[in-house]
Amino acid sequence: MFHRLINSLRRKRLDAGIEAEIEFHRSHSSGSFGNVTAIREQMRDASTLVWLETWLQDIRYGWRTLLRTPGVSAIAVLSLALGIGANAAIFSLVDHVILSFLPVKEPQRLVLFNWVQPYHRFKEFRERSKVFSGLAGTVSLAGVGFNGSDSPENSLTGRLVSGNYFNVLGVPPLTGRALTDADDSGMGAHPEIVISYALWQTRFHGDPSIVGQSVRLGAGRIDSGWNTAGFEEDKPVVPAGRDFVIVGVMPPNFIGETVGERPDFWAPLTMEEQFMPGRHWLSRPSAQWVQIIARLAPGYNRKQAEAATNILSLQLWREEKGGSLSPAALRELEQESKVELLDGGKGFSGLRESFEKPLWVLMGMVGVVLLIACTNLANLLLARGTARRREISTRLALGVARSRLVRQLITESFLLALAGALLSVPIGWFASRALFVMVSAGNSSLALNLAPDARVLLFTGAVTILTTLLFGLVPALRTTRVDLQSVLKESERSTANRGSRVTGEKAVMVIQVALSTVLSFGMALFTRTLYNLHVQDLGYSPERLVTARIDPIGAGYKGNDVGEVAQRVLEKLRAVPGITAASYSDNGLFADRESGNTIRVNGFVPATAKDSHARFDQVGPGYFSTVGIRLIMGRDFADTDRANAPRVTVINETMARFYFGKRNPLGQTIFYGDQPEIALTIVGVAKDVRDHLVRDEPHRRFYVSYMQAVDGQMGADYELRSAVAPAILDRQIREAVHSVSPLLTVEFVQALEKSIDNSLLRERLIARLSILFGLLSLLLGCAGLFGITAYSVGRRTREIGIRVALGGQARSVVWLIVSETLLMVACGLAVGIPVALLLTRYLRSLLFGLTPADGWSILGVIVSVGLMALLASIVPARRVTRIDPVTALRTE
Amino acid sequence: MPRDALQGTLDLLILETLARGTQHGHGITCYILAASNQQLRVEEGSLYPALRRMESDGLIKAEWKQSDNNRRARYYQLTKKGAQRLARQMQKWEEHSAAMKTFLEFA
Repeated sequence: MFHRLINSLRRKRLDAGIEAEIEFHRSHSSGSFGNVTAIREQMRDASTLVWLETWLQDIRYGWRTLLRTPGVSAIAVLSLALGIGANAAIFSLVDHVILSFLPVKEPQRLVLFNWVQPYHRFKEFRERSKVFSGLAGTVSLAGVGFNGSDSPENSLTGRLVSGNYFNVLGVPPLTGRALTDADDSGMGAHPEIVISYALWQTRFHGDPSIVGQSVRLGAGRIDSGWNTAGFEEDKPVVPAGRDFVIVGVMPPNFIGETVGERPDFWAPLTMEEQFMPGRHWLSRPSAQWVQIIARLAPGYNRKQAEAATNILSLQLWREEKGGSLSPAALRELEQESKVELLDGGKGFSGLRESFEKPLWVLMGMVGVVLLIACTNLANLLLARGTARRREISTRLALGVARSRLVRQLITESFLLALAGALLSVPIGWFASRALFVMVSAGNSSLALNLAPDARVLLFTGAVTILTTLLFGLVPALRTTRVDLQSVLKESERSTANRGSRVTGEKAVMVIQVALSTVLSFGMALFTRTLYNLHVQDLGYSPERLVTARIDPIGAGYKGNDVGEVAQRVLEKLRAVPGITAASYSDNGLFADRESGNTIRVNGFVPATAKDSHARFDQVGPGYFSTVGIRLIMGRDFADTDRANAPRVTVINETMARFYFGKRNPLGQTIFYGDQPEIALTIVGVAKDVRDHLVRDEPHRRFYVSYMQAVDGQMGADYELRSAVAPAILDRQIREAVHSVSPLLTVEFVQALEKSIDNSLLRERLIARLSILFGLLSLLLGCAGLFGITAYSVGRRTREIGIRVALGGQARSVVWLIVSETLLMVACGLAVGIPVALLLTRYLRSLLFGLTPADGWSILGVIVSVGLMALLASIVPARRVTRIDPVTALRTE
Repeated sequence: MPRDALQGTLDLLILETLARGTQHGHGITCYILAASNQQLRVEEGSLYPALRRMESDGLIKAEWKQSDNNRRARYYQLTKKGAQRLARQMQKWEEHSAAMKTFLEFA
């Protein structure tokens, strides 16, 4: 084998040796030698790697053939590169967000609790679960001040974790040690952290003596989970900012348990107070904030563990409730305490939850784009093959094996695909970056390692091979399946059987038009969805509304003082020139925060527990007039709705209808909560609004005065009406807040429209990309139709010449050509529209304001595809009218 | 005779010839002719491709040397692998001819 390789590479030497050997024999023997040429060839074949030589020959020949038509080859390579690159980019995202396992030990054995738990219950789960080899709790921390600075650029993100966290994940530290259970004991007793590799390199410059160094960390924000504030008890507030000792560094690719996060450090859960002073979440039973990730004990699977965990969960809830329970209450408790265990191998990912379906849809779309590019190439090769018919038949007649010819033709397509694949690498890289920017817009802490890994490269390679086969094999087989006699005998003059021989290309064209139709339909649906979301009436006008969030609790205010300081800030803000109206609220608008509780109404009998539940917000004076929510009856909140004034509430339309039907709710009382119940008098009814998601149907909602809070406040979101740009207002707002108290920090200042846009990120992404792919597919389809029509005209030049010479009108000849194209397009539409309707049924959840069988979209698709057909056939059609019959008759 | 049997026979002839001494291609034809009492004449068209094939397969190795009449010739000699193949082929041949003999005498 090796011997043969050497001979293949040193051909001259081999040939000389063979010649010499033959010569020697002839010099000795007098007789005939036989067929010298054949013997020489056989000797050569027996000495070399035949397959390698033929393959190299094919490559050289194919390369020359492609270079003969550089323009067409370049377009082919480019469209392939775009198709493969786009596929690789989207697959890369799909891989990282949806498919990849966490870089931890045995990720398949990890499970997640589907809902956050309060700290005391988390500890119970940890102690008493028998089905897990380890159960860890974690929560994310954002905006942590670093070494005294509290500017947003310098802040860190981190995670609070239980002692056994690193054990459960099974990843040892790079240097130093990880946190242990001992570090997680005693509230605030162990100011120790483990830092990430990235932090070590950037902020500490890879200092080798990092272990043991100290760093000052300030307050942070816990954003995840469902947090209720409850009320402040009289506990001292620990000031933010404390020295932490670094005990270890984690390896470079360790990101923890959440995809898309890049924590800079990990600190014990028991240090919560240091980061969120005044919240006391470690000891507050109603605060639900701990995310739980656990490793299954050997011998248990997820289902078994889930069953066992639900039993334990019910037990814990019963112990918390205390006393005996009626069977009905017990059943309700069972429902409430239900815990679902999710597969944890891929970690938590808010990104995955939002983007999983859109990403798969995009993956499908981009695959179709590649398919269309491949069909264009297939047609190209078919057309070229038809032109080379005589050459191929001659070779076949000379005895070349058909497989050899097929192999050579496939090598040509393989060269195209290879060139396309190589070019697709930089294209794919850029596309990944752009995609990442689109996906992370509005979320600056998102971090994904999108470097191409083995899987993405493997995917690209597989796609390349598949495309080669797809557009290479069929043309190669068809081209070499020729009836030798008829081809060799005929000249180009004969026009017999012309139409049928083009059927292959026409069928492919119909498929291509169908595919373009499907993509264009998707484009229409998603664009309309985005439009519908943008123009959806929210119940108020978001223009010129700016939101600014402050944290009075973090600054140390408690109880009624929170409301007082919020009022003082309000008065200062009202005085800022440029702000025409101001108010504030606990949960804000489009701020991802909400509150809810049980409500009792006299005379209303709830059918289920859910009927007693309503959402609410705690708002400042003039809230409704500032935001622009119409009051159907009654009044807005006023400065007089202070701490010791009679407790009032404003309910929304839905709630009024639900609890009071046709009765006038004004003056009626509703009772909030349980033990103790708080009586609230209804003083107004407000219009239903959309305040969290544009898609949301309004729920039952009521509003209470911030100063008469029924639940502890989380913070204060100011809603400000101003024509001034938020960037300019920013400074004035911060000054105003600061003048009330230097401890108060402004977390952000943002136009409400921007917050709404951010909430529509998913829809914007899919709309943008579907437009890109839809237009691309129409462009490719247009190019394909153009090519095939032009080619058809070229081959029928003679026939057209005859028709014109015999007195045919130019118009009727043009119609002949155009009608062919229109027929293909009509067939394509006939196939494509039903297929599109079938596929888009699965998109229902991604659409808004329209059904998948949207009439306008169908119309739009027909029009755009028709336009594409027209464009494609115009130039060839005009060329037809310019055919000079005399020249045409003479063409071969 | 079927093609591979023919090839096998030729291989056996060549290997046995070379086992008795290094030879060039012409010499091998002469030796086989002589040793078989003019019964077996190997065609050049079969011999030289076979020699090249066996060389590629590592059964024999070749060297350019000065021949008796002072011309350059390609001399072939048996390798260890070739000797093993020869032994195996010989055994198979003997088994085969013994079987044929038994059959023909059975009548």
